[in-house]
Amino acid sequence: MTNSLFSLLMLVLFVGETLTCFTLMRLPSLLRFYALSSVALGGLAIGLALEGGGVHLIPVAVAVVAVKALLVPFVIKRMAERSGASLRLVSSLRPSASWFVGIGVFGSGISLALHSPLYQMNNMIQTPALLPISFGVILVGLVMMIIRKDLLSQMIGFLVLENGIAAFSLSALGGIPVAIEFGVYSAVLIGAILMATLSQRVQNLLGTHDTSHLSELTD
Amino acid sequence: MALFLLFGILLAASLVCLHPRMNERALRWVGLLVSVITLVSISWFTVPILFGIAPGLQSSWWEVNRFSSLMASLVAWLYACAMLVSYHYLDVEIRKGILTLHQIRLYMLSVPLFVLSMLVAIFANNVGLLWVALEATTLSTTMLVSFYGKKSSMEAAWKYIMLCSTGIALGLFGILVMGYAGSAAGLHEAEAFRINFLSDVAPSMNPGIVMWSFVFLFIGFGTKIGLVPMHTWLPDAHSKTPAPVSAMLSGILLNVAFFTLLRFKNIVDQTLGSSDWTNQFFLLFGVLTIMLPAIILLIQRNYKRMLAYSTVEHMGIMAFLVGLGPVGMVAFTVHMIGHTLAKSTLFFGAGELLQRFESTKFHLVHDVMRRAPRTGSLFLIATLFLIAVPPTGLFLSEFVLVGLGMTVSPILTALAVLGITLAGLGLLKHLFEMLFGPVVPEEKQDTPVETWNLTHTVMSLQLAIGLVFGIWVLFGDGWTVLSGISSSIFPL
Repeated sequence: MTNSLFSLLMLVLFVGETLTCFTLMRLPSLLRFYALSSVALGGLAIGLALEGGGVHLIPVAVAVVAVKALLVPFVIKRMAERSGASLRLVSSLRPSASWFVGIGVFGSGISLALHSPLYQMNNMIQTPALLPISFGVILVGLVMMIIRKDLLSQMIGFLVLENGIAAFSLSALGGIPVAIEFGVYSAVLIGAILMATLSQRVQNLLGTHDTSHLSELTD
Repeated sequence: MALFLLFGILLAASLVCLHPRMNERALRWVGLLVSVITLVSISWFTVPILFGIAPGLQSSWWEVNRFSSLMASLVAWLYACAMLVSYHYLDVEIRKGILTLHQIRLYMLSVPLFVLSMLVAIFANNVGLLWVALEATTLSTTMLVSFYGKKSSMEAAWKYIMLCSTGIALGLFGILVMGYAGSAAGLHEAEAFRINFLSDVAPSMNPGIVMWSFVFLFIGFGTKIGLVPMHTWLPDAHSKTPAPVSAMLSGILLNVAFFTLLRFKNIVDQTLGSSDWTNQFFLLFGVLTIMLPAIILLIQRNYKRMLAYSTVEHMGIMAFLVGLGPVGMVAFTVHMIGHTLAKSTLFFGAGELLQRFESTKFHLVHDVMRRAPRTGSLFLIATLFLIAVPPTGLFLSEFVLVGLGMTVSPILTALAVLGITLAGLGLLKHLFEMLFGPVVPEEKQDTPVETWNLTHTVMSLQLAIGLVFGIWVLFGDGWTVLSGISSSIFPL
């Protein structure tokens, strides 16, 4: 797949936009880059379909773009605006340090993948280059959920993680059966709506979506 | 066909609650009626399979065997009990002005969807469908965790959806890795997502990849089960939902997640040719999951959180039993049934206490035996069930834990026994303080005279069934029957 210029471009965009998400501190730009990384993921599915991966990847690509690049960012943005949430996000790291940490985490994911038995059997893998990248993206999403200190960023961290898993399914399996794929995207969409609703209710109740205010439940 | 009809009824029941002309009484009646229909349908469908009278079923999407029939029966039973209790519980909350019609609508919309998700997860043969259903159990209950709209409810709901969704996402990753191993072993795309096909090719799958897959499945579904250290969401979420929902979350949802993990364990064991590797996970995490809540139980200040931590401890016991091999698996089945009955009874009782004393804090609830003797007595008996006093089923399962555990891993078993003892002491210490301690000036003084209600009837019925079940497995042929049922997923 990486022989194709289109797929290579999508791969670079997917990585670049995901890493940028890790560093951004304002909601509109974070949502924009998350949407763009999802478009790149859809592009990867189309690239795979064009290279003989199966026509079933076309509707999958359309669903990725519709759900992750359009619907989910729209819902989050609208909920944030309605609750009057601050567009400035909260993180444990400064933006400059985020780049270093993000690249380090991403590199660790790639290293983990390269040493895994999955990559050692790469004659079976549909798109070998995407497999380590998917590991990197999953780790970036996980770390983003941990270091970010506001509900909206944590939500986007989860969505980045989910993008990594979707990239893994494209890489290792050339996509999963369409019915399951649509089930997964429906769950992601409903999950995002619920998370956005909760964050709106927290904002209305506490006047902030900073998670440091949610620390009442301890033993 | 019968299953689809039932799924349709549950979905319809959920949608009917959106009708604007439904008042709170009608909503409660619909909820109750649908739960009874579910219990009757599931019993009609699964009981012949459960007792081996009829063969199981298998298709590309569904698999019904004796164990899944047992799980579905427990779901349907607890659903009916929870809706009976809800009928009374919600009525009291409405009369006190705590809940609005909108909240009752949300409750009655969410619960059937939750039950539907659990039933689909239990019967799914397709792992993708199974994953979607398990995620749906989280999504359908999130708004019930934030139900009362308090700051602490919001915190609990946020932790619940974020941690469970992340855990289940990692579980999806594990499923995909296993699907990849299946593909590499010669399965086509769709076949690599069916449990029966994965099981068929398990011996020829790459052990390294399958082990990787299991690590992610264990972390992912272990989060949903509440295994330490992935348990942090559980005490918060289970203590913030309305009591009948807490009973369902603690009593059955965790078992459904456990069942899912066991189905994958079976495949991994077949690939590795032995259960030793996976059993180590269950033993180690089992001990951790017993020890940590046992210590926290000693210093607990809230009785709903106490019950939630006790649930974590019992998940630890169940994990430990699984790690002991096929005989442990039979004890796991006994423990699962006993825990479902006892813990849900306690949560129903906790709801009664909350409505009467208007607090979940120990220091604001005293002298329950005199001021609420019916609830207090039933609560005491259910606690004795939970701490495995004979002749309960839990006594037998914990007896197996000690006896068999000492031959498998004496050190871990000693730690597990220490944890179980501490947890029992913690529960009794708080319980006696609550039941017999003198009333303090800070707590609510003027509690009305207690009368027998629907919740007491359900609690009594559950305890009676629990007692009969305990006698059946201890003195009857219960152990033999349950051995047959558990061997449908783990051959003896």
